Amino acid sequence: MIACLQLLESSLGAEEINRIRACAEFFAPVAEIRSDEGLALFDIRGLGKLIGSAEEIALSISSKANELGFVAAIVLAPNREAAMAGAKGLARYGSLGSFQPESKRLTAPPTRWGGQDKSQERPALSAAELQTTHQAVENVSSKKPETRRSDIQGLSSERTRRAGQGRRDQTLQESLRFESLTMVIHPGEERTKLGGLPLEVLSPDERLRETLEIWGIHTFGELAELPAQGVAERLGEEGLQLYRLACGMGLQPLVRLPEKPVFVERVELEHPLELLEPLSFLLSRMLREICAKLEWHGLAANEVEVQLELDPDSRRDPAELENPEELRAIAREHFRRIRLPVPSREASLFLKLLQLDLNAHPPPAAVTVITVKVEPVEPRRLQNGLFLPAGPEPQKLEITIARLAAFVGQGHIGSPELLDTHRPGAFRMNRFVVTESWKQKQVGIHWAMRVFRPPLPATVEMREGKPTMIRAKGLRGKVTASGGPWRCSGDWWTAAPWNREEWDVALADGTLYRIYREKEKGWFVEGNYD
Amino acid sequence: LCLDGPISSCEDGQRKGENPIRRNSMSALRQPVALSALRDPISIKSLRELQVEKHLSRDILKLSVPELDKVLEGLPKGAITEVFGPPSSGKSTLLHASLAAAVCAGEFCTLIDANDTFDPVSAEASGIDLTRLLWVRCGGNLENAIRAADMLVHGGGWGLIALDLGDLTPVALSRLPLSYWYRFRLAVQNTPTVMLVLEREPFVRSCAALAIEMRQAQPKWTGTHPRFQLLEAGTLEVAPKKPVGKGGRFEAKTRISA
Repeated sequence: MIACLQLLESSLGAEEINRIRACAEFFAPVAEIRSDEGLALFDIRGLGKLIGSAEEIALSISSKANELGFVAAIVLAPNREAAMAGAKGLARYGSLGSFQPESKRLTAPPTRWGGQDKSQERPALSAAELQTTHQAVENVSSKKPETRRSDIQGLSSERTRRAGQGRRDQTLQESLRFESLTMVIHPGEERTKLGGLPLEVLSPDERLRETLEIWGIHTFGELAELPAQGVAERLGEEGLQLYRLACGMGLQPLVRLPEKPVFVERVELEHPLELLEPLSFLLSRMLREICAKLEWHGLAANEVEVQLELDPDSRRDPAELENPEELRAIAREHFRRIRLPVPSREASLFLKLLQLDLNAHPPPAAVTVITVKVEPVEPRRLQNGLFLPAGPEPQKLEITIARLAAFVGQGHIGSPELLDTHRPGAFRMNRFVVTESWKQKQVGIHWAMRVFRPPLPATVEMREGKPTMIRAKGLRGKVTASGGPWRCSGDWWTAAPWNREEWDVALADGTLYRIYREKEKGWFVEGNYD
Repeated sequence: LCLDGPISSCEDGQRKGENPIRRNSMSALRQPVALSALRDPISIKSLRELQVEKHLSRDILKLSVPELDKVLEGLPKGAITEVFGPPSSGKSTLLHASLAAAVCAGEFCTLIDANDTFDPVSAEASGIDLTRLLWVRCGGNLENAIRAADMLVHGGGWGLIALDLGDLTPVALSRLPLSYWYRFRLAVQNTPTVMLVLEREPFVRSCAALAIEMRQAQPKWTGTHPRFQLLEAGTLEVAPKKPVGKGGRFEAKTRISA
């Protein structure tokens, strides 16, 4: 048997999902949690020896849900699909028989489940009714299973009304012990018990829904009465699958969907922290706990976020204190994010990177609340080739790069990438990442340049259109040979056009330089050939 | 160094007649072996021969360019290679060729650029996949360059670590303690890393396993008329100084001839 819990709340927050997860995991080691639908499925085989009959198990689940503080539709069915359809129907319509199609609503009698029409909905339960219900529930445990079942079904209809009324009477609701809607579908009862459910529960695609609407098929029972072969011939594979679901057939076993839990640690401090060292101690503890959780889940993280809530009265910068109101508005939080090129779950690595980052960007005021959050990802699995050279260890390299960046500057370390432009020497610095593949290029001997950054302003004497003498900082000489001009220009369609003529000049001391002249800017020495 | 050579040659000689257990115990007691070897004039080798032997016993990084392979056998792994020469002598050209060879062999390389003079355009023209190159720009700060080199050398995993001090004056470099180079030598020892140091004058000296002097290039211009010519190529000269090799010349292309 499979149990299905469907949340009745319209809002499906993380807290509600965690509650149904806790409830499902209380009864079964493996549960399928569908966060987007607010639904949990789990196997209850074997619980009979511990709890009792299916009805008693349903009551136990309902009791646990009540204890955890949520209201759900609970359906026990022989297979996953029937349980899911039943729970969805129960949650949406209050009972499996309350749905009536538009065409039949005025004429047809209530379906086999005998639900109430919405127009005849009763007001909130009176105290006497509620007491009766309560007594009925109390009596369930003392009766035999056969009698309990009918009581539970009767109770469901009472609860249905309550759910439909939006639980207006809070006091009475709190006094009711079991709030959730429960239903047990025994083997062989799938068709009969699910027959009154509308097909919308199965969310058929638009084309199928229209076709079935034309045929006058609105409920599970109506679709299940059609011949399977005819449905397959006319509606194809999708139609046949819908037919099987309407018949209450099981299509697949429980699927434990991979959840992406968010790993967050939060510490509220009694006294604000001003120094980074005690902050590091706390971060270390929090990171160790998060990494232990990551390891337990078999996950890793490639991003760590630290959010520090600040005490606005403890700012250290006197310049900022001139306008305290503005100050308070500006920064009450200090946010730092560390990204790793490869996932890791080493707390020491995260801590070291955070320490380096916080040293470079310290919080402007004392810290009152620390929140650390990591984004879990699949860990890196890599098998290097036996004959391939081993590269630097990525985690260790990341720390080394962070340390280097602390004293050479963030933009002064990385791997260069040439830009797609003709502008001489245009490149940008990218983050260095240890990759497994590389481009095989044609290796040749190209006379390398040593570039002066920034270019040296120079004074150049020209004779007969050729440079004859150069003077620049640390450089002075007579030109013995020269080649040029090599004219180039670009970006004339932008606000920063460039236009230059280049010369390669050999000086008397044997050195070779590249010089260039820019309009309105004059002469510069770009670099030397080396 | 003089003692190292005879010890090894003496051990080789003893292998023929003596049992291996005694040979091992003899290698543990080096001093008596060395003295006995010194008494044998045949086993004494010159310093140059020892340098060549030691150089040959190392793994080398082949430069994979026919012109360069003729003049250089390669760069020794697990040792420091010193490349020195005046401006426009081809130090950077040799550096780019070495980086390209290492990257083509699947290695990761790092360049500690003391004066921020590395040119990615000519580096890519030499065949370097720039994604496998970590470039550290120190902006003329020698202390930062040495610190960066120390951290990267000790980090390990690099195929080639290049420390470019080519634009720093000899006066600034002479203030560096010699112990730095010993430290680097020990750090790269027994690793597959090639450490390349570029300078104007040799400062690594005894810590370098290979010292290469680059001599000023002879430019080659296109055309015959002096008013209408462009720089086509340069003939660069390599002269290995430690161990002393024959060296030779090779031609480096420019954007005109490439």
